[in-house]
Amino acid sequence: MKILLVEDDDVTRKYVLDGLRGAGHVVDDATDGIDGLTLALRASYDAAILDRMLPGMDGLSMLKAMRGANVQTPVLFLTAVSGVDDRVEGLEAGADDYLTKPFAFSELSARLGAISRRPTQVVEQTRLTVADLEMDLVRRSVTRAGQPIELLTKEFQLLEYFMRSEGRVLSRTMLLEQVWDFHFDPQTTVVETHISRLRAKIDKPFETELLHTIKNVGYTLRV
Amino acid sequence: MANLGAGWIAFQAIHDDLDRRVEQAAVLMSVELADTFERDGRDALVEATRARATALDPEDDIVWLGLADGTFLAGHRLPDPQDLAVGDVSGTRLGQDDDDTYLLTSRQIGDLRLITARSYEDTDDIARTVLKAIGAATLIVTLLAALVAFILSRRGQLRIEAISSVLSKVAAGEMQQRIETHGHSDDLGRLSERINDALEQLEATVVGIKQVSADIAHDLRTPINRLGIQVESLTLEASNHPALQDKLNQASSNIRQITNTFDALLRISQIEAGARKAKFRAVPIAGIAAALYEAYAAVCDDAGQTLLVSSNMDANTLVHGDQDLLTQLGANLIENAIRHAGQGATIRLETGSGLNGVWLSVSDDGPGIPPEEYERVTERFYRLDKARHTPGSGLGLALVKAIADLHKARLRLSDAKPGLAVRVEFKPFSEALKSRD
Repeated sequence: MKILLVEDDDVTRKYVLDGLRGAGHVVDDATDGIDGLTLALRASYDAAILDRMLPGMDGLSMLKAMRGANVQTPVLFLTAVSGVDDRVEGLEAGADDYLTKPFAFSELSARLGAISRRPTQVVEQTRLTVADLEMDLVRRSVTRAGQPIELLTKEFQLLEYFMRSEGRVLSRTMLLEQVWDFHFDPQTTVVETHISRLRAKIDKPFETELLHTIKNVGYTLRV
Repeated sequence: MANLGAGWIAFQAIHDDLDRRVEQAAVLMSVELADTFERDGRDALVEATRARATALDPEDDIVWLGLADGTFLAGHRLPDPQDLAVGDVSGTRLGQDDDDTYLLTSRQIGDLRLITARSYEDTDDIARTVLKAIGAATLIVTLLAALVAFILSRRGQLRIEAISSVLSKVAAGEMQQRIETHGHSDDLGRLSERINDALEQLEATVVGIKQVSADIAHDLRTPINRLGIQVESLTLEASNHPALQDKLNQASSNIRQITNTFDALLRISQIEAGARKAKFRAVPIAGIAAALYEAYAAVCDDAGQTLLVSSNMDANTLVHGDQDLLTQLGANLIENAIRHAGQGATIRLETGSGLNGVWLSVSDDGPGIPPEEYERVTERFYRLDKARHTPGSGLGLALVKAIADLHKARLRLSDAKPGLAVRVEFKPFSEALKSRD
């Protein structure tokens, strides 16, 4: 992917650059808002990572300028302050996701993957398929290898998210936000418990494991 | 009181004085007529008596001249002169319509008897007037004194109540409350100023402590996280050494625990500082309960516990608040119950609404906590288990309290007999909008 990174903190910038380039992405970087905006308007990126607090022009203003110029590049905000207020503000201004520093690179990577979904995939589908697992969104039913599987509401929503993000790693935090709308970190095993129950229903009785755990990063659904 | 006493003494003195004058008047008339007899003889006396009787009004003065046997010679007519003795006599016995009291004198002049009498009526009138005046004066003074005393004591009472009220608010957590002194420099005023100084100190100390812990959390987050990243990289590098990798994973887990604690601490600080107030919306508490049940039923099950939810989705459980924070509040209460209620416990999640508001409650039938700990259990890092062996950061309930306070909701702990019941009471949405600050 082609990624734009605008971050003025050297340590963070290096950390992210190393990680992204190590994963095979092409990255352009800038250290202030004005340079960053120039790059964003000039070239087309698959995703942009912007720090909230930037010299020259802060991340929020930069985003507004981008959207104003009809640049639809998906944007992920980074912020040092674990602000209860900031997240909503950023999302309302047009950001696609939000991550507070310090963060683990794996989390950043997972979220980046999620927001840089190709637009064509957003077309409404009535059916989702991964290998022999099929989900009918209209009838709200799931089958694998032709056999019907009974799922509770939340289990269905969880599986739907996985199937829509096939192959992508979804972190625990992402799952909590998207499936349960929890914007905090529970001290108990909410995610793990539901994953294990889902596995028992869609994986255990079958030969191939589809739902994988990526240690210390998250989960993914793929063959 | 003093006024009454003084008035009474004055009145008595005046009354005695007036009585003496009556006596003097009666005696004087008697003496003057006796003089006339001495100077001019018997006929002159008779003449003088007749003249006096004509000039004088028997309602005021009475004079009678006659023989020792009671035969009338001159003056006013008396019904029964023989029966009259010196001193106070009722007017009726002197032939008058009124029974006013007269002072009567009797004198022997030669073979004649001279009776003079003076009525107390006038002086009595004067005395009554004086008494009324004194009485009225006393009454006015007493009323004024009572009024002034009442006003002073009421002012004093109000000021004491004001001081009391401020102290209660501060105890409840409103650290910035102060007593209004209005420039009074009396005892209460000086006391108020001293109390305000103490409250100032108290607020600064509390704010300072909170700030320090928030600063510590903030400053340590970055190095802790870098540490976490380093351990993560080491874990990847140690993929050929499972035993080492295991240990490194444990280290990672510990580091995550530290980060969680700091995050929770920072979140509490922000919430206390009033973050998110502007983003308040109408939030249905019953909906939050439903979402929490969906998330936690399985978790409880795996922990050998049962989660029950009871909330009427039709009831109006709208509250003016922040959905995310309220969800976290409910989640913390449930997690607290999971952690402490023990195996086999039943945890109840309930919501309801009534006239005075909307409420959410989480109760369990576990060991509960002793009532004397209710106050302290919502403090940051407070642990019932003083040796701090049980899991958890000790911040869960502190966060619940911070969120409840932000929503101006009341947090109540009680004995579920057995177990612990925690109830959060909110003002209904319509009312909360009215009292928005």
